[in-house]
Amino acid sequence: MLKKMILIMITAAMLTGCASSGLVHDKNYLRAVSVSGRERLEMTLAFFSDDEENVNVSGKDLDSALKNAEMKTGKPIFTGYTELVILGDCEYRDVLEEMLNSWKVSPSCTVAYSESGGAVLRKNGAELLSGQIKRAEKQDIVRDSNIVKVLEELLGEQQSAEVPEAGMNGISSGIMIS
Amino acid sequence: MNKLTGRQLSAMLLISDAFALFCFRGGMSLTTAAGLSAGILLQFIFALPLALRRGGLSSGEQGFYAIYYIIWGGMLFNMQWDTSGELYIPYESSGGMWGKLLISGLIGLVCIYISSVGIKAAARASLIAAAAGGVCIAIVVFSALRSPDWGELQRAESGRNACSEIQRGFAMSGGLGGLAVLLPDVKGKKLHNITGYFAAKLVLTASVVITTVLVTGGISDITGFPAVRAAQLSQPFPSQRIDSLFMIVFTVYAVFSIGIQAASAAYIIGDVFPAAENYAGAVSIVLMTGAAFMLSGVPLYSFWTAALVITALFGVPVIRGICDKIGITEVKDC
Amino acid sequence: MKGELISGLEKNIEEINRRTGGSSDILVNRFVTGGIHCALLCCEGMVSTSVIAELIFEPLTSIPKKKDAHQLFHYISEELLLSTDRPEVTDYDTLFSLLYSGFAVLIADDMPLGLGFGVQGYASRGIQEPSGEGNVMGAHEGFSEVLNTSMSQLRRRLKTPELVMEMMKKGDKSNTELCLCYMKDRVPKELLRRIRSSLNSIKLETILTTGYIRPFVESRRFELFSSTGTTERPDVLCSKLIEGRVGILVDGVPFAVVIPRLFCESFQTLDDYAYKPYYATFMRWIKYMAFLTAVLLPAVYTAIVMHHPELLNSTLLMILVESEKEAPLSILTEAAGVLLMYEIIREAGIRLPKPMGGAVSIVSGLIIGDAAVKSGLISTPLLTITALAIMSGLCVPELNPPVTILRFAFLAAGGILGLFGISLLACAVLVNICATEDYGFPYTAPLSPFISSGMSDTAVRSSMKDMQERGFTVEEYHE
Repeated sequence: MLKKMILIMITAAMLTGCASSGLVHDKNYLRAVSVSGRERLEMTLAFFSDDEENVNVSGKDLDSALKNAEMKTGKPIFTGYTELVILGDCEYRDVLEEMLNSWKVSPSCTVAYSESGGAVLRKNGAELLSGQIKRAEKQDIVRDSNIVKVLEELLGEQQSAEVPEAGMNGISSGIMIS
Repeated sequence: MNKLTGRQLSAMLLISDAFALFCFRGGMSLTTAAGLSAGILLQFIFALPLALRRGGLSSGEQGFYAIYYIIWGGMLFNMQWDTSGELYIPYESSGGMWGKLLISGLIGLVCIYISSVGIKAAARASLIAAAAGGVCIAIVVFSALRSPDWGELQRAESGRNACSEIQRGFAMSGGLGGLAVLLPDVKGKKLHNITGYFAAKLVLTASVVITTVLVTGGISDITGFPAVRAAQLSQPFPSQRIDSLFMIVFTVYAVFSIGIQAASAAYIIGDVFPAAENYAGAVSIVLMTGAAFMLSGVPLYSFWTAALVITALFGVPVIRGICDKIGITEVKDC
Repeated sequence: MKGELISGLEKNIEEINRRTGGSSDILVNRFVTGGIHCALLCCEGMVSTSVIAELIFEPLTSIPKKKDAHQLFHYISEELLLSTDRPEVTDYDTLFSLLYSGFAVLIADDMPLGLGFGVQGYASRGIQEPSGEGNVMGAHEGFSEVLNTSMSQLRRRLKTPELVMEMMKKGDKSNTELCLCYMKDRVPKELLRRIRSSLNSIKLETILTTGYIRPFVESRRFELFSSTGTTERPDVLCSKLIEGRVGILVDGVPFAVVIPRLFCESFQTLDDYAYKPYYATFMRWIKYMAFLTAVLLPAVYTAIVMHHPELLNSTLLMILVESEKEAPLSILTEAAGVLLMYEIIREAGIRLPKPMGGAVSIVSGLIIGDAAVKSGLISTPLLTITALAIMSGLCVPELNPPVTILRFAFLAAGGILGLFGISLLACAVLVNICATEDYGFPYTAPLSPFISSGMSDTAVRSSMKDMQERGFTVEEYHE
């Protein structure tokens, strides 16, 4: 009797998750994002799918900006695949910390700097920028700047980190952010 | 009880130790590794008299250890509750408080099942689970060590001294109560079994702590659970994440850690109250849940937790001595 | 139906007709021999008429006059020796049991006994290749429905007096013969005693398959995997008997029950011992992976795509997104539907009449498979994954029933709760497997409890010389 009850309870508990749609194509998969602004964040999001255009949103923090983006695209946004984060003038440490903790971005996600990150992303595209940064790392023009390494340096004694600079004409050598 | 093997007992205890490591809170450093390792050596020395003990547990000892299992099980529930929020369990099912309750409830139900099949089956399953989990942990460790920054070992600071880390080590070693209770039922040379277990524990602890320091040493300020974060950040290949592999290990070890405590408590409860034998597993889980609520505000790595664990190691000879003084010397055979 | 035979011939025959309700398949041949009125009873279709005519009737009707029926029976039994099997019949239970087993029974006037003659001639399927348990390098003989034939197949392979075959009858109505086989110098005595005790507790009316008796020789606890096995091959049963196990043959069923059974044996075939050790080891591991693939692949795929897409690389994910765009259902529903469809087609393939086989192939392959994918109801990656899982399950056909159910259970767990749900269910299943134990033999031996010497035929397949030196019997695994 007890085992039957346990089985029924387990089945009922598990079925509480049945309400989810579970449709894989019902989400947008974030590929690259540019963030700038201190009082109010301005974000440009680029996705994997060619059908989805870049989205420009703003919000008082990352969470609200992401929610605004989901409203604009009409689908939830999955951030676990983010390959590239382009930071403009913003609170670098707080932004990266939230991305690592809440967005659960990949540990190999690359961090770059740009004065006009949104424009660079719109013009060059996420795939081209990611490829350019990887080639620059391979050719030792810039050092490896994954999000974990950059955060370690920002949290360390120097409280600054060297990241590649993404411009309209490509990737140039590293710039210090703090 | 029928005999267990030394490997099965070691597997049960190592699962509990590994789970406590996964749930480690606060920063880690080389001091942590040294302190925990020294603590393990001390535990080995304290555990040596257990290898010389003959016979099973008396009624008084059974009562003591039943309560001990309930308390330690409650603390494991709390560890699992706190840490599960750090893991990425599917968000659609784990929204907020209800999600955490669902996760804990499902773990509890599986633990009830484990306790109902008996300690022997749980021991057999532990051996397989420990081996499989060990392989997964090795994968995570090797992934993390692909490009290590050895300088982190010197830079990382936990903010605690060696004595504090030794105390932590004891507080995390609640599975030692199982060593005291189950060692008489183990086949083969008990000293051999104890040595093997503590050696494996030393290797496990040192490798996990050092790997965690190498991976998360620089971001320990923003990391609540360093071992979990280290596993999440480990990648065997740049384009391949394996954090969900760690979630599998965490879930399996959580279930077995709590389930083994429940199975052991159920065995003792069933022995002391034969009428309750059929429901002993469910009773122990319910009592553990109650203990979890009562202990929810208690710091996990406090002096009192460490003292409880030390009492578990010394409980048998102390209680036996008291019973001898009073005149109660009934000892059950294994 | 107890009752001793009546002495008077006519009254005896009346009683037989009364008990059988005048059943027309009981033939009564009245004659006089040795001056005594007799009757030869047999069951139509069960006896060989040529054997009866030549070997029974001819000698019987040439008997010189005898003083009485006792002397007549003594003469027939001791001096004529009409057949190798000549049981005495004292009651109606034995009479009917022999008649329905193909014996002819002689009764006489003023004689409270009958004499049976083994002249079986019923039609039966000969020795054929087993339908399952196929192999390449070994014998192609399977057991037969006739118990004596199966027993002779064992005896031909184990020509030793250590092989003991104990006969018993079970089933109140069917009186089915069972044969308990074991090697008396190898089998653990306690195992034999407990199996006999379990068989004695059987209180059934009929025994038509091994499934009738297996619940009596297994533990009462719910077990996903059965701790007793079956085999259709006499060479496999012989290999188990040599290891000290017990086999039960059932009359009318071409399968033997093997006790005890271990989990690792489901991955062993006789072919493993015909090939070189390195190849046999490779195939063993293929089967282990196939088992895990069969159970877990659809669930893991569903869990990853629905809940943990970050585990896939981006290129693969985009392929899946494109292929799932037109699918109206969630991946969990799709996967469950495909697996259910396979089970329906599989069951239809087993049960359908042969002339319809072609139609089923067309319907299942073209209409359901091709059309469903083209219409977008099912995506191609999902179909590939489920097909791979199904084919993997066929590598270990003995475990097909639990694999099928577990596949669905894991799929539900993975689809609803992701890898967390799969992990929880895996813990419960692992504990259930480890709790499976009958007669003191843990089902998961030699993996847990870990017995290193057992790994020579589990993790690898050692050479025959090494295994011979080890001299394994199943008693090593007893706890």
